[in-house]
Amino acid sequence: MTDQRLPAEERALLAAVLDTFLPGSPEWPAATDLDLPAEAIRLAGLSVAGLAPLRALLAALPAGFATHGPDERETALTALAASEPAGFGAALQAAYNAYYIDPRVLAIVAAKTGYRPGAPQPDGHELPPFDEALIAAARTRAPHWRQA
Amino acid sequence: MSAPKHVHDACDVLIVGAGASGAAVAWAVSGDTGAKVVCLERGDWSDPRSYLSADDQWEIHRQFRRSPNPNTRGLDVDYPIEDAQSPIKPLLWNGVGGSTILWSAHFPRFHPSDFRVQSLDGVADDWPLTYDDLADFYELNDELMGVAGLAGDPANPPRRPRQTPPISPGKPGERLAAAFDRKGWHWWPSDVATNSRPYGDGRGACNNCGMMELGCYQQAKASTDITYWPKAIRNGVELRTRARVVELPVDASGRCAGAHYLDAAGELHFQPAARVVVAANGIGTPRLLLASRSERFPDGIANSSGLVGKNLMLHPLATAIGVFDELLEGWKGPTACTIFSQEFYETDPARDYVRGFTLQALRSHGPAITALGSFATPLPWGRRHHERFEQVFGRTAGLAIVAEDLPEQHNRIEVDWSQRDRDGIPTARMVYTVSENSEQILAAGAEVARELLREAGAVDVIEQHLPADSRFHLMGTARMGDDPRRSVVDGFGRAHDVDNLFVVDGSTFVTCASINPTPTLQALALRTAMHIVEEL
Repeated sequence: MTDQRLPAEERALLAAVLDTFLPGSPEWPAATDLDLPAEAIRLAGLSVAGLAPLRALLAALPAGFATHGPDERETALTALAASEPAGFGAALQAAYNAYYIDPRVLAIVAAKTGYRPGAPQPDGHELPPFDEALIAAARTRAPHWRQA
Repeated sequence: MSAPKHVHDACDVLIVGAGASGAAVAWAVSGDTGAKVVCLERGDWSDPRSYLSADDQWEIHRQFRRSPNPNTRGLDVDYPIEDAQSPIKPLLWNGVGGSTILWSAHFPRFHPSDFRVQSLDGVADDWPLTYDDLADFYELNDELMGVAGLAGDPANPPRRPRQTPPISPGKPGERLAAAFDRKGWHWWPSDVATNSRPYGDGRGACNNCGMMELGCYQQAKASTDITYWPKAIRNGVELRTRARVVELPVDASGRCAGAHYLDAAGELHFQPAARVVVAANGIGTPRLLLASRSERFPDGIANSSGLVGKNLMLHPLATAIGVFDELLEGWKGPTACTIFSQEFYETDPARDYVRGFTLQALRSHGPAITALGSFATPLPWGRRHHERFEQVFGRTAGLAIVAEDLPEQHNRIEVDWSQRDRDGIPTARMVYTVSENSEQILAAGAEVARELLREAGAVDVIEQHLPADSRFHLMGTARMGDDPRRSVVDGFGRAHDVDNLFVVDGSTFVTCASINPTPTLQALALRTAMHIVEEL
């Protein structure tokens, strides 16, 4: 069983990482606004590797990372993307997953695009009939498969 | 191996694997034949009403619990596949229906030329059969699976009317179709094994949910657990699940005696059989054959040619995703089944490579998977993330470039006797390098795709070269042919070395065209089954 606990110090570091990945904007919440670390930890734990890659990334962060400004954090994480690719990838995957399954974020996506949050089934979407007019030009071409 | 705890009555036909081809054989050799048919499947049945497309966290499940990569999902019915030496990772499903549970259900046929690439283009080998030998089996398989599509494609030989009309390509496909027309390049609605209207035994119509990759909740997609298997079971076929075959033993005469397998409790069984049909996919089949060593066959059963596991073909893939300045709602509808183009399918002496590629149109994904780059390179993180997400989400139409892979012996599945799974079976190792020819095909395909997407109005094109988790198509590892020194099985899938042993999955492919293999491997399986029936 994967141990999905992280000590408070590592959770604080993770929160800083998540906020760097997803800093928010006037229209989009930052990771901090959503209390994302707990969900990100759960999701990272779904990997067969468990939390080990994520913890490796946190261990590799420079001292004081959580207190640094956005530019320094981005610089540090850009470097770690190359030197700790597994941990960096796990963290980014967990961040995006946690963010984009959050109902508050999905509500924004829906408002901007018409996307319907929630499970695709059982409702699905209307399947329009195939419009045969589409194929009118393609139909005019002569058979052209290679004779063998 | 220790003595089996359970020894069953002999059967006439024993099938290993209940996926696309095993199901077809089970149906075709049963019923009026009166044959006693048993199928051993290492996985379980799936319940469509439990498919995770009906769960709010469906995008998470697609990446983990129901990832098509067995090494990612790590279920106990899966076996480990060492894939560090392959840039393309294996995708498959272990269970009744096999990989048709998770597939996208593209249903194209090989062209007549695909069976004669040596004669026509001087590469690889010809198949020991022709398109005409398979044509009726393609049609029969279409009828049993149910195909949405439109007859009359000028790039392919004629076929009977499809069982249901084409799946609408949606706004992304319409954009691309218009661009193909303006370029004067071939396109056609894809043949898809998914009902656009109800068809088959209690099967519904697609409701355009867009997540067939988690299994089809509406039973519109033709996975063989809901197409062939109900019919086969009504015919009297006995399907044993959670039955993990560990070895195919041989008798004193060198024939295959049946199969040793472990049940869910780990107890060893022996199922004797007059004939054994292996349908365990392009990795599982060579793994089992190579693991079945005996005094008679020290290098694995049916392997006197040394070609079991060799010539692995995977269809190297690249994608080009066009970003448009309008909302295309690409989250609606099957991601990968809309329209296709075979304008660049055949060898053109003016090009630097042989053979060619198919372009398959792509829609898009949900928010999380979009942010993650649709299983490739994630969108940028940091202060640019939200702007980029808004530019991309629901505003893409893409093209997958599917390259024909030519067989090369160094591309292979081998077994590692030093590493065994929990059942004591050696681990399968995938060793694969993308050939220079395939790289040239992908480069040419990417150029064409960029041109087409620009023609369609894309303001940006995101390209992905060889996304890792991209290949269900596992082919060539027990190839067919007339010469026992250069092939493993004959044109009916019968092992040259063992006359009561057959292989019916993608392993038998001599070449792989540049299209999805399932209709062809199922047609081959039906042909083999009819051949077996003549012997019963």
